[in-house]
Amino acid sequence: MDHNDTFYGQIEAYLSGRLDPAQQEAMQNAIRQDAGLAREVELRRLEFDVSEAAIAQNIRDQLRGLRTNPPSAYPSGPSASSSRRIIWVSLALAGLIGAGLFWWQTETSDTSPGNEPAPLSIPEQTPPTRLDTLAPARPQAGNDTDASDPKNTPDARPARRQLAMAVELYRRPEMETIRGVAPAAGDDYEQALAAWEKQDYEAVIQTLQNFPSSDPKWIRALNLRAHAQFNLKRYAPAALTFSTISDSRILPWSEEADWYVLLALLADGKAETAGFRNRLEKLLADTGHPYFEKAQVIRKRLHD
Amino acid sequence: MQALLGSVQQREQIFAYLYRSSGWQEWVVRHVSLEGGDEPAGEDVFQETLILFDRNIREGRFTGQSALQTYFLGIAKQYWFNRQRNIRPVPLSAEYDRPVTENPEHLALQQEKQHIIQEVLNSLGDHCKKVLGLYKLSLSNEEIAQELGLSSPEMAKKYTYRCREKFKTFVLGRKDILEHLDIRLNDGP
Repeated sequence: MDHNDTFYGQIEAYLSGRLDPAQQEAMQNAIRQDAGLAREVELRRLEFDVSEAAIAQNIRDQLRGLRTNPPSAYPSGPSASSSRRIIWVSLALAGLIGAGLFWWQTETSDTSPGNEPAPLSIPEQTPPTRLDTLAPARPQAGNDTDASDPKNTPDARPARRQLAMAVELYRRPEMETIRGVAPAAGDDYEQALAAWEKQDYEAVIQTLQNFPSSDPKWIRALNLRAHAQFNLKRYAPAALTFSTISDSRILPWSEEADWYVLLALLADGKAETAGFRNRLEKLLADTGHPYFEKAQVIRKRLHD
Repeated sequence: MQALLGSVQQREQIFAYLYRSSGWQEWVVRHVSLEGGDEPAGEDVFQETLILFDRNIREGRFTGQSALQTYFLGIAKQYWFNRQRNIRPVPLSAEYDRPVTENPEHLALQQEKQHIIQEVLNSLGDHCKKVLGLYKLSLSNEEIAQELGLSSPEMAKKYTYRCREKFKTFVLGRKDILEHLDIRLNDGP
């Protein structure tokens, strides 16, 4: 916890009764004279109470568990590993269901990337879509304004703008973020990271092809794979993989994926689909979301 | 006592010990049974006492003038007594050991406050509830990161900040809550 902020530190000390009587009185005088400070103190007091209510709820939950579980199961009894397995299996099932729903919401017949819904079994070699050839990294020479080119028909132009926007807004995740705190040398994920550093995205995908969903790094692997797909301009599979992470609600990965799934859908020309709109609106409804401001940018630019 | 000020794991272990092995739970249930309650009521009193005991220890309200067990059982007896008198029908607040007023206006405000706290809690979502709880336990960013499975203490700091902002945004957007806070302002700190 960072208590370096003197102002908030003082308020917390005041509310916790840690100030000496003279300081306490000085604080009370300041509160009487400064409406802004008074409001800040009351807000912080409410935050304290809400946080304590959360702690209390946690204790109630634990006691409920103690009442229903035999003593041998606590604190790290033999059921821990099976519980963990159940969590991962549930997560995988949730991922499958989420991916299916996502597919149902967004897919249109002309850009179908494949039929395999399993998160780490998404076909990589999807047929190139018309959008693949429109990415800024692979510009078409000479005929951008040729009205006879199907890519420049009125129907294709919005998709082209969406792709340009997605590529512009996409940021390659930093190595420090995706590596995590406890890298284990030699496993598949580390090999994939090495390939990622070399920008060998095909190798990333190949290495993670059979990554077990029971592995604690599964969500990281899924994330890395999704970014590799995006960088290979396989936007539809990338959107599917990101959506699985997003729907898992495993933080912080899911919040990152909330954003990247939008970019992948944009790049795939799916900004008009219900799936895209629902995800964008959901993100915009959460003002505390780390990508809230960026999502506002997307909405504004799509609207413009 | 130190365990209550320690990590999440230490806290969970001490709660399990107090529930299963300390004998305090049986004592509370027996006391409530003797005083006209039943076993579920006794379990409930133990639970709410534990919550209050934990908070008082963390906030340094236990002065060491009695044994911890005496202090805990004293809280339980007082809680059951007040509940029987229906003085405090709402969930326990940390103000337990402050003078309890029976002023109807005060009680109404307390009930309104509990309602607001519940509403704010619901608006935060499970993740932010957990984050704010961990922050309130005075855990370091590193410990919070470990507890939440985040990649770094910086991420924990970022999440804590974001959840606190989420709290603030929700509250500032609610005129009724602000009015309630203004009423409390007039009551003094």
